[in-house]
Amino acid sequence: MLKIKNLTKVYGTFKAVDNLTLDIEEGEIFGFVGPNGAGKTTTMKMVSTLLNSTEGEIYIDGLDISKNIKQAREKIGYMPDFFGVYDNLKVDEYLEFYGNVAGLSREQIVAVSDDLLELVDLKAKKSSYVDSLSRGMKQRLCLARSLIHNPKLLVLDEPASGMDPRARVQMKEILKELKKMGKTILISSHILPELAEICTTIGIIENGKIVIKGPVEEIVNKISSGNNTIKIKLVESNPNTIRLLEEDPLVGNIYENGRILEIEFNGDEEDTFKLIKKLVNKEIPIVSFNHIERNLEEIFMKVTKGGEE
Amino acid sequence: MNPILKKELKIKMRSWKVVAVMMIYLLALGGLILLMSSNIFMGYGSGYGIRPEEISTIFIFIVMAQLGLILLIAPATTANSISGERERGTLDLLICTRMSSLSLVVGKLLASIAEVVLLLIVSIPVLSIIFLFGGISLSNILLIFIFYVITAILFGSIGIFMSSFFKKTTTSTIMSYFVTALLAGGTVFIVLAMEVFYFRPNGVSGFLNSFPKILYLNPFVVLLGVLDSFMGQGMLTDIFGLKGSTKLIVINMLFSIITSMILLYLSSIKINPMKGLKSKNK
Repeated sequence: MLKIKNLTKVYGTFKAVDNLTLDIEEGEIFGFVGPNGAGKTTTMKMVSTLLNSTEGEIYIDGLDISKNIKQAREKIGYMPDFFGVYDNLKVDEYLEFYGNVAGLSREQIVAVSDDLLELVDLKAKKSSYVDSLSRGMKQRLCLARSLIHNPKLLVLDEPASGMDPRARVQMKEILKELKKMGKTILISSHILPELAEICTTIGIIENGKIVIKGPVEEIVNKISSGNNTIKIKLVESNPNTIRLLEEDPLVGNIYENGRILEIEFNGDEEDTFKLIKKLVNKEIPIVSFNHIERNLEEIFMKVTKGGEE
Repeated sequence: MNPILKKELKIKMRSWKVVAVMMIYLLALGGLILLMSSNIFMGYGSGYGIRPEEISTIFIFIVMAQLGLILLIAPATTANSISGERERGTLDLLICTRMSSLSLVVGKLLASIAEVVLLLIVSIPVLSIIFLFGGISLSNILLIFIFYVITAILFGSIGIFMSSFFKKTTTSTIMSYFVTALLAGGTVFIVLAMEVFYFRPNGVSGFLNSFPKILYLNPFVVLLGVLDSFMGQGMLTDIFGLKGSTKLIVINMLFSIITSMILLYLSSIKINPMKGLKSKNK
């Protein structure tokens, strides 16, 4: 659905996007992760025909966007990280306006706007003025706006930024719904655990380059393999436990916090089983034994050096 | 109907600002008429009677004042049209649609013109005072109204051009009024300066023999010339040595239309983020 080939954007001497190549299949939800100033928004703006690239090609549904701007725009639904609304315009009029701009007839607009307002849970606010809505509602309305012309590709730049936890959950549910509808989505976010939950694939970008990309689980496994954290809770603090653990060559640092031990463990699942067995055989009073999974946030911190905006 | 025009009209008509602008406009126009006519009617009271030429002076004054108000309003309604969308964060949402950037700027201009036309319509009762005394036909009034609208298109286009060229509304507004002042006052100033500092010291009068071409761009001079041709007052002859004629208005309106088209086209190119891409890929 979206093919990006050797995309580069240069501002003066600064390379905002550096030879970026990406391939997103139809129905895929691609999470774009990266520190501030990494080139996420620049890439998304180029995909959305809002910024000219210095080099490289972008194809949407097989169309070269530089040669078919109008047709490409019909296939894209864009939601920026920062956007405004018009005063004195009601929610349904807002959608009607963007429907008109997209070239839809009045009948088509009426037919889709109710469904869209239901999808984003704003049907009750249909006759409210847009500027009276909360930030979360405005974000959802903007998402509905981006869907008015039924685009194949959605480009969502930080759709949940500035939202409170409840609004973020609502946005996540909407995105899950869109996933079910088969939309192809390119989404950037700083709320990494949420991306992991929604996305089929992620790409981590830093200094305009993709550092790592692939299915979420694959990336998590790749980064985490042989570098786990295990949390052990004991009935009571026991010095023998630490001595026993220190003897194991696969155990790295051990952090003791009363009855709780956190250990760095460089083994696989089989090694973990052996460690548990050893502790149990030595009658160590274990209450619980948890394998702490590395999440997207930790992976993000590990693979990026942290850019400055 | 252009969706931008439709939306702008909806938003503007809901706002109290339109009513406020109409009130201020009519108060300003009515105030000027009262001021002018008070002298005439005071003369009537002291036994001199009302002379028709004094009424036509009022009419000329009103028509010129109305042009002045249009020159104030047209740039004001357009100088924030594109920069305002940019500042509000709504420009990108409009650009990444199938609507062309030319439709966007034309829609913005039409919305501004609609506001000016509304003001012209509400001012008709005020202007109709001239019909009480005759001397001006309906077709003359119609021509003046067409001139107003075309002048509003030119100065509105200047506002849109500045708004698309400059990112900040403040800069765009200042530049729009600068160009307006240049056309409406600067052209006269240049001609007078040339006369005083160049022609007269050399013993000739520059514009007594030929009408300075630069004044074809000045809406006030053009309107004065047209009123001259309607009423035969010889105002332009007194000032610039030119007999009033409708040739002035034709040339000026052609200039306004062509310049507006160029400015709108340049504005549409300026706001299109993908400009130059096709040529790059050829």
